[in-house]
Amino acid sequence: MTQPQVGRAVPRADARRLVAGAGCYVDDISTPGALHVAFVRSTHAHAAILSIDTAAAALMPGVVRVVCATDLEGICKPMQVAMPALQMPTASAHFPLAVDEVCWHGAPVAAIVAHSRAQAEDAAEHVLVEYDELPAVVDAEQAVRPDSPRAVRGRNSNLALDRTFGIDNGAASFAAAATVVEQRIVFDRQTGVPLESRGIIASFSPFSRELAVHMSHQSPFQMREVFSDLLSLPNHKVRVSCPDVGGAFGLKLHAYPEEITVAAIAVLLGRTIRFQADRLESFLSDTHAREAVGVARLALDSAGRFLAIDVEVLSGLGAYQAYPRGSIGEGLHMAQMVGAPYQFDHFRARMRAVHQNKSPTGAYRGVGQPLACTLTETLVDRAARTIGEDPAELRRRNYLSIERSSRTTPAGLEMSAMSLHACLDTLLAMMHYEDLRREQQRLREQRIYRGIGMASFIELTGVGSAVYGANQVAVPAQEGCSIRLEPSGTVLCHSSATDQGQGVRTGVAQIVAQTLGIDAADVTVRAGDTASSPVGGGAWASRGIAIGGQAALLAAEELRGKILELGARILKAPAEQIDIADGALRCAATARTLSFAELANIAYFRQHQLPPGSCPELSATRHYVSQGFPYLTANGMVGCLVETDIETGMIEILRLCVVHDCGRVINPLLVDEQIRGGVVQGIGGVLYEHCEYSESGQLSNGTLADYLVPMAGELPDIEVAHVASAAAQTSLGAKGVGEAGTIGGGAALWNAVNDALAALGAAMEQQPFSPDRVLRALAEGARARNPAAATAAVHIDPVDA
Amino acid sequence: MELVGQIDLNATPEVIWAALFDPAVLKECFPGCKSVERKSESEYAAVLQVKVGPLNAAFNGLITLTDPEQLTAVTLAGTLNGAGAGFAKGSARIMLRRSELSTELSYSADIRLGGKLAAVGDRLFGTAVKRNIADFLASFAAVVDADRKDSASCQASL
Repeated sequence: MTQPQVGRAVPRADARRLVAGAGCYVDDISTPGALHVAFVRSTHAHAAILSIDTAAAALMPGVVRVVCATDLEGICKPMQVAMPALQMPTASAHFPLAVDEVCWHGAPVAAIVAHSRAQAEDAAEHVLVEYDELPAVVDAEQAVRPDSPRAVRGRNSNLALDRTFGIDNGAASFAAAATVVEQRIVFDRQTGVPLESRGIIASFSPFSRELAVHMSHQSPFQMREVFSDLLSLPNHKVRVSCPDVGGAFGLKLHAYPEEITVAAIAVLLGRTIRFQADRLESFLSDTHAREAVGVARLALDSAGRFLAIDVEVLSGLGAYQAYPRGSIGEGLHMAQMVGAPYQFDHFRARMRAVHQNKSPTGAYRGVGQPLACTLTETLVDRAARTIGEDPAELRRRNYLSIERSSRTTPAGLEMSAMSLHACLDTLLAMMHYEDLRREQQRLREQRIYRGIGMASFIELTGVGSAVYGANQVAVPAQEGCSIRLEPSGTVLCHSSATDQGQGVRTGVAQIVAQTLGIDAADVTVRAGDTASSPVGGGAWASRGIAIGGQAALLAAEELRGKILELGARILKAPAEQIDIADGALRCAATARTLSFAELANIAYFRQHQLPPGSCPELSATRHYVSQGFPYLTANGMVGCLVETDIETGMIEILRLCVVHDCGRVINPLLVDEQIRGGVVQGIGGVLYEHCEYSESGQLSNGTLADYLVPMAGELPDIEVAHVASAAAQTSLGAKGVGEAGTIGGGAALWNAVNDALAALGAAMEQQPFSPDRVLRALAEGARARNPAAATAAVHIDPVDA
Repeated sequence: MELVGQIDLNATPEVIWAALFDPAVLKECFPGCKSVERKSESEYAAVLQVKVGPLNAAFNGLITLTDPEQLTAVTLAGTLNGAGAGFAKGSARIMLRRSELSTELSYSADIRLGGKLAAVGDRLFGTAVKRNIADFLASFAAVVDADRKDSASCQASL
């Protein structure tokens, strides 16, 4: 008997191939005769372009063409982000190559097309761009002031959006509250740093007028619409195929100026054009994320119950919004999701998003939710410290209780089927919380500063079409699955859910295998090509299994019905007497069996054995989209134990535990790996990652020598446990998990560090927590505790950041 | 990027002062320097080949000498422009102090980087700048060294 497929820790089908170096990424695709592109990039954060002299570059060896914005006029439209439903005061539209103004360091100005990348790069050094430097506004808090220089000339304001959530700020609650606490957090910019940088190969046939694109991307169907729209080609004449993708994390969800330029050059020249970003230009041109300042206030009654939350968020967008999804998601999520796991009656949040002379920001794992979670959970810890209550107990008292129900919160979030209490109880038992607290006290006497932090988190997964559809952004929100029985008796599946390393194809295979009574190894899942996949979103908002898996389940059920129907005819028995297992049909009454392979052979090659008019259809295509509900809410809890070295400012993570509820777990191995990978990116943001800009807006750490990412040696074993509250909205019952660890992992680490520092009167309020910032916080804590003795007591002289 | 440093040179301020304004000496001593041309009393044009990490590009510079105090101090200000590779803008104050046996040359510079030069980052580029300055000073010290065996021609030309 085939063992159950769903719930089994099946390793990724292609893990061995990828680890062996046999992956096929964009740069591995051979294209004889293709031309290569290198970009001339802005050397200033903000400048007017007075002239571009390409004469010397055009004469360099191997150069076929030097392309500036004017060369693409009539071929390519500007990238405009309007989002009409949000009524943004400042339209964001820019041409892929700078026309007369550059607004961020690294903005593409010209493209060199040459026979090799090396030749293109050599020639790029000879393009002379005459700039007239303009004032650069770098800091978001400066950019929002009315008298600030504009990030882009001609705009009335740098303000992209000023939006308020909630109608009732609970002023009376704040006035009557027993306690009001306030928390401010600052997130510096970081970026996704996928192992495989962005790349594209675009071919245009002037005869058929078809554009064929290979690119490293999460959403091929979105890109088909993007190329079709910007290059004025009918969408059926555009094919986008994403081969193996080596990490994406949200940043490969956007349409970048470089990729649009390459496709436009393919149309211009009628050739095959390719571009692969090197690491330096990845740091300059990949979307950045996270830059925000958030302040939240919480009112509590005398029993320690939450009454009201008030939030202010300022989000830095860069000079333009990322195309086509915009850049405001981070700020909107951050503002609206503060307080998400808790019960309270009044909520108001104001979110302002501003343009500045930095690279555009965009989606990065969690999109705003890690910031909302960090602001919420640091606020709750501050409340616990203020009223002298254990942070675990304060959370327990204030959680939403919607284990088997749903609720619309005062912030307008639609929550359903969550297990907040169960996750907390599981986490406390897992961490031996009481023991850790005792040990923490004991070690303090030895001047060892340990901190225990926890964070409850909510993840909105499998988001439907209300976000982008309402804003007229052509992003597919459904997922689809086309499935057929092969003559070998195995199953071929085309899924719209794309795989950037998560292993979503393996999960889809398990769902199909379970439904059809075969082994997951006998299901081949292909994805990522608009020519063969059903139309679907790809990978965004943790939808692969929650939505793509549901589509696969529906398709497999339909195929199962068709197999049964044909099998019944061949076995001459009623379908209800036939069982399916181990890749075969079995009739209990006659003890006859028919393997899938035999059935498929009759269906495909020996139809003469069947009654006339019964042409078999051993295939099915089904789609699924979140309808009637905006998203599936997953939840969880992260606990973290750290030790802070108060002499060096270094933070060591000793333990990290996650309890997660993503509903029905299809593959515990891959779910756990998603959580661990997510936690690592959360840790990266809190401790290391920072896109540093100089005062004049120059990105100054564009290499992996200076931009730090967490390494295996700095990480603890990440322990993972599950609570399963099946999603009631789908028959599969799975919720998303892709962003969970990032959302809660960072927040728990914030709280753990601040728990350690609290004993010294210090607190961190800006990530990353670099050692110099930790030392400065300790020095401030020392001054606050003892102003008179501070200068003498502070033996640490933190360097200026 | 702020840089300060000093070196003791086995030469008189007169020799050092002359060498500092000598295009041939500057070209010989500065790593990667392809040419130095004196455009006027106070202006020099230079071409530098800079090779740091992923960067290998020629930079054209125009350096202006200002606020000279004869045999004591001078300020160099200017821009190095490497087209697509970026730019470096800045100024450096160079000071000489005579002592009994030698002359102390000290400098303090403030350099602002742009483009690829900035993005490459301090760890790579800052290190390279410091190494280049150290190399320059070592070569310069050798050129002006009063005890140098083959310094006759150099001394003679001063």
